Amino acid sequence: MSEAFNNKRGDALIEVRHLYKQFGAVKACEDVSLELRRGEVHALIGPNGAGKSTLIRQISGQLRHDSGQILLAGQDVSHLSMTERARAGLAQSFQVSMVIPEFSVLQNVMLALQGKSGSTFRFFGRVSRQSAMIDKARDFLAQVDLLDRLSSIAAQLSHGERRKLELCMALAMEPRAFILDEPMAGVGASESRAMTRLLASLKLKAPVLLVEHDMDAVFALADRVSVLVYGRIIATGTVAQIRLNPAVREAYMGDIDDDEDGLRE
Amino acid sequence: MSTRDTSISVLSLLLLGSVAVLAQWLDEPYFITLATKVCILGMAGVGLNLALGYGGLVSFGHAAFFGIGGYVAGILASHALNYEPIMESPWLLEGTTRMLVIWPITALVCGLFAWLIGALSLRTSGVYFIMITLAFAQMIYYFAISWPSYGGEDGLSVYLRSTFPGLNTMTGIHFFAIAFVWLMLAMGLSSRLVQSRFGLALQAARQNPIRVSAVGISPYKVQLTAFVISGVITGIAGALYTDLNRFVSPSVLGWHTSGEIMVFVILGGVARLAGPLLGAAVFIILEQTLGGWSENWQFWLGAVLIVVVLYGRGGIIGLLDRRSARE
Repeated sequence: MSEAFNNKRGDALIEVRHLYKQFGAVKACEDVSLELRRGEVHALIGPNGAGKSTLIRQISGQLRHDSGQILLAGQDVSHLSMTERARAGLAQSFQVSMVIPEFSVLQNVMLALQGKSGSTFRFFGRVSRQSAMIDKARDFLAQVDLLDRLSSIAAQLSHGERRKLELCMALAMEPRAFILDEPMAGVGASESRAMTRLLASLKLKAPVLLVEHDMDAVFALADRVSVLVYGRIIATGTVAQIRLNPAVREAYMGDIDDDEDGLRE
Repeated sequence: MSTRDTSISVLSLLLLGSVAVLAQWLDEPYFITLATKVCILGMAGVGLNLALGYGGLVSFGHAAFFGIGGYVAGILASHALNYEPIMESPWLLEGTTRMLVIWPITALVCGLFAWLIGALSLRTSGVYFIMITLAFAQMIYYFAISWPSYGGEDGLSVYLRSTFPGLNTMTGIHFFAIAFVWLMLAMGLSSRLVQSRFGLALQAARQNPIRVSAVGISPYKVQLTAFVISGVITGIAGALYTDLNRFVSPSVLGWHTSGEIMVFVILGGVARLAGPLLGAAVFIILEQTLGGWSENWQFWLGAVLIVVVLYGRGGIIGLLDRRSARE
C-alpha cells in the first residue's frame, strides 16, 4: 500500500462510522464504517442486494440511518436533510437517471448552478437572460461533451446522454465530494470508454465514492475498493488486495458472471 | 413559457377589455358586470394555476383563500359602513372602505393562512394533498357558517362598494377597470415568476423533487412560497368579488368554489398563462347561455369539461395550439 493511502485523521472527506439500518427484519446496513479520502476514487462493490444503494442513500441523506454517524469534512451531517447535505458539498448521481424531463439540457444545468449559488429565491429576472450563468453552464456542458445538445429536451436524450447530463449537474455544483450510483449502468459499449474517462476526470476536482457493477471500470478507476455483502463491509483495500482476497472471491461465487469475470481478470 | 402564451394572453385581455367597452357604449351594464366577473374569477384561477399548474400542487382548498379574502373585505367594509369599530380594547380598530387599505390587509391575512395551510399540507403529496387542502377549506367554511357576528349562514351584506381614489366604484365600468388591472397584474406577476430562477425551481420540483433536493434546493420551501403567493392572488380576487356582489356568504368558502376555480384552470389550460382567464370566460358564457335554457346547465358544463380534458390535452389553449400547429 502506498504512502498516500495510509490513514491520516482529518484526511477523510466523507467518514461513515458504525452505520446501522434495518428494514423490518432485513439488515440493510450493519456496522458499516467507510472513508472517502481526499483525491481518491473509492469504489463500493458487492453482489445484488448487498445494500450498496441503501448505503449511498443514507450518505446523501435521501434515507435516514438508524444509528451511527456520517461526517462530511469532519462535520457531523447525520441530522441534515438531503438538501442541506447537498448545500454542504455533496453532489450525487442516481442509479436511475434523475433529470428534469421537461427541461432542456441547459435548464437542467442552470438548476444545478442555481442550487450551488443559493439564488433560487429570486423572483424576477428571467433565467433565459442570465448570461453569466448560461456561459458557466455551457462550460460544464462542454466538459461532458454535451454542448451540442444544449437545447434538447432532457426526456428526448439517449440513455448515455442523460447519464452525462446527470454528471454535468453534479460537476456544476462544484462539490467537495461526488457520490455516484452506477453511472455506467446501461451505457453502451461504445460510450463506456468515454464515460470511464469522464469519471477519471472527476477525481481531479473532488473525491468520488463510486458504486459500480462494471468491474472493468472499477478496476480502471478505483484507488480503493470496499466490498459490501449483506449489509456488511467484508473487505476494504487497493484493487490488487481486493482481487486476491479469498473472502471476496467467495462472496462473488455464484453471483452473475460479469462480476466473476471481472474479478478473475 | 412561450411567446405563443404571451400573445394568447394579450389577445384574451384585449378581447375582454373590448367587451366591457362595447357594453358601456351600448349601455348594457349587465355585460359589464359579467366581464368584471370574468376578471375576478380569472384572477382567482391565475392564483391557483401558480400552485396547481406550474407547481403541480393540486389544491382542492383554494376556496379558503378566495373566501377569506372575501370576508376580510366584507368585514372591514361593514364595520366602517355601520360605524362600529372592530374592537375597542386594548386599542381601537376601525373598519375601512378604502380599497388601498383593504387589499394589503387581505394579502396579509390570506398569505398567513396560505402559509399555515401550506406548511402542513405540503408534508403530504398526491391524493393526500388534495384531501388535506379540502379539509382545511371545509373547516373554515363551517367556522363561517357557525359564526353569527357576520351573518353566519345568511352571509354579510355590504351596501356600498369600497372606494378607490379618483374612481366611482359603484359605476360598473370603473369597477371593471379595477378588476381588469388586477387581472393584468396577476398575469404579469405569474408570467415573470414562472420565468425566474424561482419559477425554474418550482417547475423542477413538480417533475422531480428528489433531483431538486440533490442540487441543494429545498422543494418544500419553494413549493410553500409558491403556495403562499398563489393564496394571496386568489385572496385578493375574493376581496374584489365581495365588492362586485356587495355581499359575501359562506358559499364562497365551500368546496364548490374550490372546484369551480379548479375547473377554470383545467378547462382553460393547466400551466398556461391565459388558461384560467379563458376557462373562467367559457364557464360564465356557458352559465349564461345554457343556464337560461336549462336549470341543469352544469350537466352540460360537465360534458364540455369531459370533451376538453379527453381531446384537448392542455385545455382550450391546448386545442387552439394544436389547431394552429396543423395549419
